[in-house]
Amino acid sequence: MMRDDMKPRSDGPAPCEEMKPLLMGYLDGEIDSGDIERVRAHLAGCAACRAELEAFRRLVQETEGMRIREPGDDVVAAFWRSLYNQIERGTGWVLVIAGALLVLAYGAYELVRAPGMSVILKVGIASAAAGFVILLLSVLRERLKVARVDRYSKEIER
Amino acid sequence: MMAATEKEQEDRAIRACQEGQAAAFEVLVRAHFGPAYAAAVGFLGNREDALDALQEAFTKAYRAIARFHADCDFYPWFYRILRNKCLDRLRRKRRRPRSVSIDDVQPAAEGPFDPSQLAEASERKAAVWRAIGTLSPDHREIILLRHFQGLAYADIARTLGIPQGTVMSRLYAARQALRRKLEITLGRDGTASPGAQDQERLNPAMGGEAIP
Repeated sequence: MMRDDMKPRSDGPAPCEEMKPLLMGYLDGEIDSGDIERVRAHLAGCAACRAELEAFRRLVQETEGMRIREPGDDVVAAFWRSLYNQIERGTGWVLVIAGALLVLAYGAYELVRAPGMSVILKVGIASAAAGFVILLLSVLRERLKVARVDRYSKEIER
Repeated sequence: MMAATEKEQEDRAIRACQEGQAAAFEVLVRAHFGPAYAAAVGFLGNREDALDALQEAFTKAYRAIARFHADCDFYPWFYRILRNKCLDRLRRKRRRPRSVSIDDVQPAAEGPFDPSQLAEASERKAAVWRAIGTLSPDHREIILLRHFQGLAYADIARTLGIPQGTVMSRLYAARQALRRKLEITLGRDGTASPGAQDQERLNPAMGGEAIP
């Protein structure tokens, strides 16, 4: 059933432009009986649309039987394993980063508040923590970059 | 149209994924891998890019599944994610997709065993496929959904999120464009023009790719 806004007006013969989308529905058997009658009435008096319909019919026949070859079950299974690993690792990285940030924030808070600790020790701990964050970000950045450009690593998992 | 039991199975898998059970996502991946793969190959023109886009799309779908509404169908929702991933890739590459190798196109059913017909059929299918590869993404998409995946207009409308009237007008424009491309390649009488084919083989912008 087609939308009202696509239906040709009932007053007078339908112009070819209005009929063209309907020709597709007619060819593919996707319009209702009322529209089929309208298309037939138009085709009876319009040689150009008849010729166009024939050309489209040949085109549809040309593509009949063409299908995109689907990968085998082994490819689908390997695809799923790779995808599952990626999903799991993604969740793992989120948890690691969230946990590390929480621990660092709490550690920094405690460090600032710690009485009797020398400034040098505080600076040392803060430097080590900052270094850890930099290294973590660096590894993350590299992993992202490799994941984007290195297709071979994905092929191994497939 | 999806059977009720398949829909129930999918709904259960979606709920499990929303509760954080990643393993349940396998049901959805396996159920929709075939049409999704065909769509991705149709957009991108080759198997490797298609599998990469599928991986990105399924990963994104899993991460966004908490926002998925239970009263919707999964595939149209997922298809829009996949479509965006494919279009992003096309934009990034700023080039037309390569033609799919004829090895990726196969007849849906075996015809009569006639080598001469088979040779003609292979050549013509290759020409049709190359012509499809030169269409705009919108036109290529609707041709693939209708001709290669055999979807009814209502399913195409649901998948693309457009009215059925638009399906018909877009299909008309796409078929018209495809006819013109084929007339250039095969000639008006439908016989292959060697000159046009050679030109396509040598011109990557026309989707040309050496066919074994």
